[in-house]
Amino acid sequence: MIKLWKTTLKLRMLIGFIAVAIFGGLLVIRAFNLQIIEGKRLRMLARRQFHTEVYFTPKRGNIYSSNGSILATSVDIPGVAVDPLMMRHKLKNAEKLSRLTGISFQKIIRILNLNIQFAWIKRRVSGSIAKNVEKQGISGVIIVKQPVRYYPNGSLLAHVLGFVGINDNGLSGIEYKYNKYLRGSRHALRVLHDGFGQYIFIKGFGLRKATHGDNIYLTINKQLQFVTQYYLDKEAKAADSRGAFAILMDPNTGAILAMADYPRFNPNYYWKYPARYWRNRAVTDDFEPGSTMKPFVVSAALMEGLIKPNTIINCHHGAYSIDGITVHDVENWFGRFSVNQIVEYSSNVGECQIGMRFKKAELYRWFGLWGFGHTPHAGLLGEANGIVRPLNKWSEIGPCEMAFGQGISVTGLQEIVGLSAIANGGRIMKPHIIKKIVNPYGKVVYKAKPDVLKRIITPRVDKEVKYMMRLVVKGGTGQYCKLIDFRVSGKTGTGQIADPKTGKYYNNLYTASFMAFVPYRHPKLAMIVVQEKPRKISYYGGAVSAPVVREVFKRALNILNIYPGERAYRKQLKSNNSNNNININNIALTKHNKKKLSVLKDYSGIMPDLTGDTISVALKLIRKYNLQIKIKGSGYLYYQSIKPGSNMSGKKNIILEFKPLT
Amino acid sequence: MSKIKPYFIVAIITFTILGMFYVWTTMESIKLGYDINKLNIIKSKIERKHKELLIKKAALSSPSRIYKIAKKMGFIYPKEGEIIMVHD
Repeated sequence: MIKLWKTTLKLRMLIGFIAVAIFGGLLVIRAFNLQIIEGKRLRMLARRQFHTEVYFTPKRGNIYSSNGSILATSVDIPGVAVDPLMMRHKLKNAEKLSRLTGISFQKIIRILNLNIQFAWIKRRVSGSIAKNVEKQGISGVIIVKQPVRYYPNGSLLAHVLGFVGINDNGLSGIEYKYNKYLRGSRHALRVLHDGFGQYIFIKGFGLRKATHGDNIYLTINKQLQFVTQYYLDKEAKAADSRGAFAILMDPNTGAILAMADYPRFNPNYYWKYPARYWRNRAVTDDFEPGSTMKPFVVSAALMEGLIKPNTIINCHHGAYSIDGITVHDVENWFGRFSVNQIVEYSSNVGECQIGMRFKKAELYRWFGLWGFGHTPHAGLLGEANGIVRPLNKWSEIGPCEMAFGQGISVTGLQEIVGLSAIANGGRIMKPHIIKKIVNPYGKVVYKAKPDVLKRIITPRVDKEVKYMMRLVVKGGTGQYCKLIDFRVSGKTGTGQIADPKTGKYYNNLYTASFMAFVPYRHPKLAMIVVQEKPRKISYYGGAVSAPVVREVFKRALNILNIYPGERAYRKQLKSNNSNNNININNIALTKHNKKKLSVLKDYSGIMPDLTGDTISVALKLIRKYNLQIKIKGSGYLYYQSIKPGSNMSGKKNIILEFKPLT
Repeated sequence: MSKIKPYFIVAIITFTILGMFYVWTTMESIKLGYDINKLNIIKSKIERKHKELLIKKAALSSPSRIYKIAKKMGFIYPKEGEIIMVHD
C-alpha cells in the first residue's frame, strides 16, 4: 500500500510539476505577448485612458497706442451650432431657433437635414441670444465661444490696424503684417484625468508657456490720431474729395504719430464696406505730387551749387516754352523772381528752369537720395515705391517737369520722410510705426530706436530751404496754414491727374496737397495732407489741405504741451494790452479789416468789399452768410462774384479769386 | 520568535513608514492638483473679468465718444490766443 502510494506520489508530483510548468510557461508566454508583442499598443491605450491633452487656444495679442491704450483686442463671442444627427423634432426646434437667432426657418431646416455632426446656425450672436438658446435645452444645440477681434475705438486708425478674419488670421494692415507675432502658437498641455474627467495637474505646467500672441505697441498717439482723422474727414467731406489721407510725424525720430484716411470704415464690420475703403492710401497710393516736390529739388540744386536763394530767374509772365511744350503758372504776372520767391509763389516756370540746370543723372540720383522710388520700410502693409522712371526713359524736358512734380509719382509716406529731413536739419530718419513688441510675459522682444539713415543736406542749405518754406506760409500760397502763436513752414501742391486710358492729364481733376512743419526753428511736428480729386470749394492744396494741417497743428501742439516761445508771448501781451478780451479776430485782422468788420455789424445783409483781403480774412468776413464758396488762386482777393454792396438775400454761391501781390 | 533578528524588525518598520509617507505624499499631491485646478478656474474668471473691464474702459475713453459728450456739454477747443501763458 505504502509502495503504491509512493509510486503514485511520484506520478502526482510529476503531473503537478508538469501542470505548474505548463501554467508558468503560459504565464511567461502571455507576459511576453503583453509586454513585448502587444506592449506598445497597450501602453498607448493606457495612456489614452488616463492622460489627456488640453489644448490652449492662444489668445491673439493686443495692439496698443503709444501710451498703452487698447486699439485692438480679442473677445470671446458666443455662436450657435448644431449636431443635426442628435436633433429630434426638427421642425419644432427649427422654428424655435429661427425665432431666437433671426435666421430664416428654411435655412435652418436645410442645415438640420445635413448628414453631419457639426454645423453653424449663426457664428456670432449676442450674450442674451446665446443665453436664451441655452435655456431652451434643445438636444443637439451647442453654444460655442470663439475669439473675435474687437476694435474699441471703431474706425479710429482702421486703415493702419486692418482686420482679422473668422479663423483668427489677420487679413489686412498691422493685423496681417504682424500676424505671426500676434497669433501666438497652439500648444498642448498633457495632464492626467480621473474617473470623473477632472484634470489632475501634477506635471507639465511648463508646457503652458509661450502660447499666447505678442502685444504690439504702436507709435500712434490716440488723441493726435483722433484730431487728425476728425479734421481730415471734415475738410474732405466739405471739398467732396474722392479720397484723402494725412500723416503726422515726429521729424526728429521718424515716429508716425497719426495716420488717417478718408473715407473711413469700421473694422468691427469691415465686410459691410467696399474693398476700396480698406486701403491705407497714405502708403499704398502714389500720385504726382505737383509743387510739394519743389523744396526737394531746390535743396538738391542748392547742394549742387546750381543756384543760391537770391539767384534771379525769369518766370516769363507765367508761360514758358521749352522743347515744344509750354509750362504754365497759375498767375501771369510772375516776372523776375528770386529762388525764394519761386518757392513762395510756387512758380512752375521758375522751377522748370532750376530743374533744367541739373544733369539728368544728377537729378535722378537726388530723387533716390530723398527716397523717391524706394520703399520707405516703415513697417506698414503695402508700402509702394512710387515711380521714378529709369534714366533712359527721361525725355529732354524730364528734369523740367519733374522739378515741379509732374512725370514722377511719390507716396505720402515718402514725402513726409523727406519733409522731416528738411525739418530736422537734413537727416533722413527711418520712418516707423511699431514702438515695441512685448511677449505675454512682459519681455520686450523688439524696441524701435530713432535711426538716422543718412544726412542728405547741409545745415546751411537746410536753413535756406526752411526759410523759403516759411515764406510760403507767411505770404505765399500756404497762408491758410498760418498760426498766431507758432511759425509754420510749408509747401502747397496741386498735382494734375493723368487719365490712365489716354495718358493725358485731366483738365479738371487734381491732387491737392499740403505739407508743413512746426515750430519753424525747432520743429516738433511734420504733417502732410493729400486730397484726391476735390470737387468743391477749391482744388488747390493751399485752400483745401492747408486748413487741415492748421487745425491739427493747433490741437496737437496743445496735446503735446508744446507752448509758444518768447516771441509769441510778446505778441500775445501786445494783443492783450490793446484789448482785454482776447479774440482771434482781433489778432488776425488788420486795422483795415477791423474797421470793415465794425461796418459790417451795422450793415449786415450787405456784401462787403473783400478786395485785397487774404483767403482767411475774406472767409471770416462772409462766414455768417452760409454761402457755397469757390476759391480760385491764392494770395489776395481781386475778384468777387457778388459785387460789394449787393443785398445778400437769396444768394447761395460766391466765387472768390485771389492772386499774390506784385 | 527568538530567531527573528532585531534589524529585520527595524527594516519592516522603516518600510512601513516609508510606504505610508509615499501614500500620504501622493494623496497630498493629488489633492493639491485638484486645488490648483479650482484656483486656475477662479484665476481665469478673474482674468476674463479684468479684460472685460479693460475693453470697457477702452471703449468708454474712445476720443470720438468723449468729443461727442464734451460737445453736448458745451465744451470747445480753446481758440488761438485764448491760452495765456503765465511766465514768472
